[in-house]
Amino acid sequence: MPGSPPALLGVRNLRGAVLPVVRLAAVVGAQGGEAPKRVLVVEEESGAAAGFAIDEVLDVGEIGGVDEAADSALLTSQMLTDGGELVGLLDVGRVLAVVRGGATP
Amino acid sequence: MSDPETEFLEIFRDEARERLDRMVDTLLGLESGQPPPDAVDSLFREAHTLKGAAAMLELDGVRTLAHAIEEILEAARAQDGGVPEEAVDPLLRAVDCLRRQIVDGTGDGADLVSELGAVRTRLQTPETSDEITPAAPPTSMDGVHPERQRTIRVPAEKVDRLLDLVGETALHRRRLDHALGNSAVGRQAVADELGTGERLLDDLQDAAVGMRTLPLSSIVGGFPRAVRDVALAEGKEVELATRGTETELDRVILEGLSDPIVHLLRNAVAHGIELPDERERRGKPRGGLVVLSADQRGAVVVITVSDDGAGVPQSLLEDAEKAGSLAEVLARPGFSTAASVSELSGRGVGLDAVKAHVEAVGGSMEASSRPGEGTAFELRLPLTLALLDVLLVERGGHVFGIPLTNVEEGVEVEESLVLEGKTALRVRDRSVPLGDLAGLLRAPTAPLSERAPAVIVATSGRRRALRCDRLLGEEQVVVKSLGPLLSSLPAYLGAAILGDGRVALLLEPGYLVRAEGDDVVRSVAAAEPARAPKVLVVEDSFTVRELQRSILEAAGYRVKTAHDGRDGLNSVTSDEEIDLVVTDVEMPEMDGIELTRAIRAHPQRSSLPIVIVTSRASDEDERLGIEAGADAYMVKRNFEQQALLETVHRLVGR
Repeated sequence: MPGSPPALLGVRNLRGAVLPVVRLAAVVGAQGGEAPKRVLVVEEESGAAAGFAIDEVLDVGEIGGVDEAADSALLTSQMLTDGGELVGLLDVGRVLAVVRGGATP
Repeated sequence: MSDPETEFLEIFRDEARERLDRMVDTLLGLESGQPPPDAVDSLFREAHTLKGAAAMLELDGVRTLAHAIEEILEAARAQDGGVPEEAVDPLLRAVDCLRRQIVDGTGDGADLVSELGAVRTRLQTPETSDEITPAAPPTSMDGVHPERQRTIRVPAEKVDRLLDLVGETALHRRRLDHALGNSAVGRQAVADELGTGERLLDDLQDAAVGMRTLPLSSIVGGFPRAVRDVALAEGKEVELATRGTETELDRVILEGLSDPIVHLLRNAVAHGIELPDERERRGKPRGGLVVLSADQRGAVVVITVSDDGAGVPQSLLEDAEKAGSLAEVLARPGFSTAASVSELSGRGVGLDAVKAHVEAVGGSMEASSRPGEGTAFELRLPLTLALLDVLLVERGGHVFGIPLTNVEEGVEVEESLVLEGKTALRVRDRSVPLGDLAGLLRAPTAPLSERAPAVIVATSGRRRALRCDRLLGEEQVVVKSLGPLLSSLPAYLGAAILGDGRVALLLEPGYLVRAEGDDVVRSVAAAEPARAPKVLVVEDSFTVRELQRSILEAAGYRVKTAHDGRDGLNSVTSDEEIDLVVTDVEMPEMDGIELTRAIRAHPQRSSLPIVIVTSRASDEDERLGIEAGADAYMVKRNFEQQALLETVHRLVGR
């Protein structure tokens, strides 16, 4: 979408509403993400919806042991260990704030 | 629709019902001994608002009774802050009486007014125990009362749902047309039915939109009087002109808008317009002019209140320059341009309340002023639903919509001429600046073909010809908001979903005619994206360094890192592309303050913008940093990425 923040992939039609889609890989600084296949729809506390372009959904589950010590990393509000794997818990509001911050005319 | 007076009465009835319901709830809470925390204040506010509206509608009975309620509450507030038990019952009866007068147009509050007066007197002199005047039973007047429209109240969500469905039905209709294609041709009966269906759908759409919106004219009825009253009290000569009051606004927004607009009008008269002699001295006509205008711009309705008065003082304009917004400065709580609060502006809402109200409904307030020429306030209000006729065009694979009211014509570009380095198009002996739509939007895309057409867009006296790949045709679309993530982009009004499910971006005509022309020409030649500014992050903590890198990169900057001041200084001197430095303070080898001093002393790089980000929060440290020559100083403890990005953006302009 012309003139939009660089982390924004574009807008798409979601059941008659206009949904901005965020290049999630660009925001979190991850490798790849050139051709994301799916869009995960998220909603902020304020009710604003957005889409995150992702490769795939690995699992949907409840979160157990949350390690709150790692809250200095700004995009991931908390980290948790799931079966020995370190998983970042994305703070949707902060991700969207970063996208907003990079807006150009 | 009926005349504005009746329409406004309908709105007032709706509003009054809600206010009276809330008053009853509060009073019942008082009676049960569990009042809400701000009981007296909220009762006072409701009564005060009713009084104001009633005065404007010349409903004298309502006004007098509301005033009596207000007075009793004021007396209670002056005593100990609470409503005494004995006052609750008369207040409840007074609220009932108000309801009868407003909703049914029956009843007379005279008895209650005197009863409330007696209660108030007792409140003010608590030791004497006067006799209570018993209230007369409510008189039922079944006689003549004003003819009025029947009203049903429906939750706004239900109307919105209906509107969504109508919009979806219209889309379905277009898909159906598309699917049928030419097969309906030759079958007259089918074609006729389709035609009927289309007309019905149009009517349905109009009816549904009409349920949600009302013209601004439905609330302007009392404005001339409000202006006249203030002018009279101030000894000024003022004329009120209204423009565009047929503009339709969301009902819910419109209902709360009367007070804020009245406040702006009174402000304009009381503080804007000069006294007649003063005006004459300045070479202006003796009578001042206040203009109230409304204008729909895509999904936003702009209501402007402007005056041709003295303008705000220069010192305020300077403050506004610093704060970035005049509205911000004028709306500071407690700020008043008046030396003394005049009788008429009285207890009304302040400019801060106007701003808060407009923001509460999702809008914004802007102000502008020229010394000696006047002041204008702009309320930008969202239209929850807007239908817009647009011209659809295609450029670089995207579909864009341009409001049809701003399209003069579509033309073929046969030859263009270059004037002062800018391309222009000759249309019927008139020269119109010519640009590439993609260039204007800074969208890297393939160059235009030689025969690419152009659309001539015009607004507020300016025009520009914009070239695109194809003109697709006219269409009526439902304007959808781009949401908070994208609403700050000045180029777009919103978006629309087309019949084939594609999203069309709706362009803001003002942006199209005003945006930088240079970019246009350059990108017509080569659609090369501008190089992003390069930021050097100097930080000894790996985590913080990488974090800042990811924030800046996500926002589109190029980032280089250094692990201490010495390393940073090397980068600055060796890499000419660095546009800005973000540095920590405490680092080994060379700290951030020393780095700042070293850069400032450097023969070539002394003007490089520097942002210090540190955990040291004392004023003394900040002073040290700024004295060393830093452009900005941010504290990590309340460090927010948004603030960092804003600072960087401010310094290197991206």
